[in-house]
Amino acid sequence: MADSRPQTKTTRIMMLPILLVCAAITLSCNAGREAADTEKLRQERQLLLSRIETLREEQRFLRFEKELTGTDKHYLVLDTQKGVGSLRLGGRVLREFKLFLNECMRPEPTTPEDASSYVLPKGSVQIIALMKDPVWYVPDWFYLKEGKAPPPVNGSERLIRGPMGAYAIFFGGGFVIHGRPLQGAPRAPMQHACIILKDDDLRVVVSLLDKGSVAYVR
Amino acid sequence: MKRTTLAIKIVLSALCALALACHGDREREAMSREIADLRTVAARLEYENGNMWQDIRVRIGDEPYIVVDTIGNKLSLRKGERALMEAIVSTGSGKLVEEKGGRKWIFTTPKGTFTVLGKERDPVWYKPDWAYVEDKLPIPPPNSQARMVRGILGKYALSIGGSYKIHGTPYKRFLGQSVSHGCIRLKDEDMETLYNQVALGTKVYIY
Repeated sequence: MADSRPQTKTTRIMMLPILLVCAAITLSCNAGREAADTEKLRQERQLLLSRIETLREEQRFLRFEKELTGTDKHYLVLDTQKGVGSLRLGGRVLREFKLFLNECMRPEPTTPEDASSYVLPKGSVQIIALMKDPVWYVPDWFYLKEGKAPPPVNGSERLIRGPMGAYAIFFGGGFVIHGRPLQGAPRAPMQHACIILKDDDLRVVVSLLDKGSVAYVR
Repeated sequence: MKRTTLAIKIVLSALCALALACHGDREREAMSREIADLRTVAARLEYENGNMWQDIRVRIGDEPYIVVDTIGNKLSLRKGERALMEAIVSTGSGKLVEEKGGRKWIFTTPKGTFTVLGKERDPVWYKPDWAYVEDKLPIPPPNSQARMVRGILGKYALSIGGSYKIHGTPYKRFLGQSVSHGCIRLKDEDMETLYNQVALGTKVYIY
């Protein structure tokens, strides 16, 4: 009987870590489930953040649309996700047309700035010039690439008609809407973000928009 | 001694596991709170956007409207973002007719925003002076019955002001071409559909 006391004490001392270990085991069993829960929460958070971004983008567009609704202004809405554009007047769609994206030939970007200049802007942009029979000003690098010496900066041989089609609409920020190259015209590499429209659509758009008209790129 | 060390190690490991579990709980709690906040933000944005859409719809109106493309000779009846019908039309030829006396007429379709001011079944065409000048015929008096021509405007017509109409035509073979005297001609079947879907006051956008 006398020997049993220390044994009981030892057993009690050993019980604590055992209990703790049991708790830890239980917790680690739960850990898998909790990790899954955490992952689920992360995914939900990510989905919500992305939904909020979409809603904010939609709100920016709605503000733009609301401002022009009921006015007598013509403007463009260019949905680059769907590849569809529309010409609108005071909120009403007058014409819908296909957008040809990523069809411009481009020089290899030599700097990150070059690469970013090929990316279409998002949001509201304003027309700075509309041009019939736009000319392409051949830059130095084009001659150098072909192993030729660039002609004088103001040389008329630098101006080529046709690569941008029959019309071009220039927007602030270097973004251009233009037509397909005219028959026989060279396909020139363009150093800008661009959208190509069919000639019929472009002709109508050019006839109704002016310098200062706006477009919304989504 | 060894037993005690082992026990301490086990206790410490267990405590670490507990601490980690507690930390995981706190992280999940924080994330749950953030998710609740994000849900509130999303709900507020959805509400605001819904209101803005509603405002825009109210301002534009929900009535159908007509769009005429004089370059492509196409007409569409639209409602909101949808095209309800599309038709091939004939619009103004741009031709010039000149009278010896000095009067001139250019047969263009006017561009801009118009309104349907009248709807007619079996419309009668009041043959104007230019039609006689164009055909090199003598011009009858203004009230002459000879000026009243039936059938030439088809079965239905919509007046858009300034003697311009959207109407049917027997000259179906010219649809898609700019051959009219300024009116917008459709084949009778399309004209009937259009006539039945528009009311007085419908907006007509011509470009």
